[in-house]
Amino acid sequence: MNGSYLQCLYVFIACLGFGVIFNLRGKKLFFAALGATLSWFVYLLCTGAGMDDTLCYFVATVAIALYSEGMARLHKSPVTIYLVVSFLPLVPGSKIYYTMEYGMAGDTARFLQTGLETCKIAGAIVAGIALVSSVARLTTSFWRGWRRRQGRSAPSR
Amino acid sequence: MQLTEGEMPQFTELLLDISGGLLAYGAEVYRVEESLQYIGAAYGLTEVDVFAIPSHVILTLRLANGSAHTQSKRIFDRATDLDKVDRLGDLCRRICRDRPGCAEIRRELDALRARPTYPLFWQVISHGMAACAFALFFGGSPWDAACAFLVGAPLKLLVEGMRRLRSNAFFSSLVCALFGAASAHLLALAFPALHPDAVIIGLLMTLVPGVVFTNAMRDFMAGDCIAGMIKLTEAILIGAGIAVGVSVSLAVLRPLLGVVA
Repeated sequence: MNGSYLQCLYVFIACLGFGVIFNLRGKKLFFAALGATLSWFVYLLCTGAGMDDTLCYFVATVAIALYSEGMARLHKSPVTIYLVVSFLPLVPGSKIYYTMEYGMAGDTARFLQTGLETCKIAGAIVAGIALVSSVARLTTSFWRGWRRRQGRSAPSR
Repeated sequence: MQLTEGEMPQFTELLLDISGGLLAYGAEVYRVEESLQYIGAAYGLTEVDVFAIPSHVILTLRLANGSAHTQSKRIFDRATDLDKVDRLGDLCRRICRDRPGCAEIRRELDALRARPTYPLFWQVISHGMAACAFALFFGGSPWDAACAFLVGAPLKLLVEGMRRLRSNAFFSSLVCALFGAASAHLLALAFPALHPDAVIIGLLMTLVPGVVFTNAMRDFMAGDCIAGMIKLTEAILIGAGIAVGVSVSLAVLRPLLGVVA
């Protein structure tokens, strides 16, 4: 999908809405929606650079997972609250819908093709989140151990 | 503060209330287990055995003199509230740092539970707004966006109603998706300028199990496969519910209306 940068604005509005439904407040609401905007912006940059579509989704997911980890440490809040809102624009809503539509219309070839594309995107998102949260956990345990050896109390997170 | 034998039942109950809150408001399961272990360590308990799945927590605390206290908590009603997840995380950190007494933890916990959510009216509006913006995002016209708002706002009432009736995840997302897709098709019949595809995709995006899915992934990566599997199954069930709901509306309404799109 070749999107315009106006889409970033739509994503921001949509994710503000999601933030309210999830009861995010104040600056956290803003930064969560900003993360969502960032994810689509990175995706657009990657497609602009002519990268493979699945790879674009992967890079965008890694970008927002890093963003969420950073925001969480900055605001001393859980990573999830940024991550669940930020990755929403990457959810392949239209592909899921067209998969179902082709399935209902009996167009098996296109049903399978769109279905597989959807699975590839889902896989890319999963891989991105998995990679960043594993690395972040390793880093956290490393620092915690290091600080303990320094004789300071470990942060309780 | 040092815990005495007499305080242990109350303390155990408090920790379970905290973990129950975290699970009900949408935190990852590994976070719950880790938080309790940190708190236990801060109070100098020799052993903290906690086992949590999304709907249940079992906690055993062992004092230095060897006496053990076990309680469990079942979590029924779940509603995502990330503000409270955030505050509960703060509370856990504060408990580890200051080691307050039971009465104070109870007071803080009550204050935290009383924190407001957005009024239902604003939630309904935001739900509509999210659907509307996603319809535009997926290439809908401004008219499609308006239609997505009109359907998306009452959809929130339906979602909320299904949750209050304790409907299971599969059926409630089926009903919501069916309502959304059918309304979009009927509106498209009345106003032929609409693209029902864009409207339905916008609506679907508001039903996607984002929180469950993300937490499932993070639990898997934290090594908690049981919790990960439970949440992943739930996400798949919700997804299947949406798929069936939309497909039914496509299968039933398309032939009735002639091929619209």
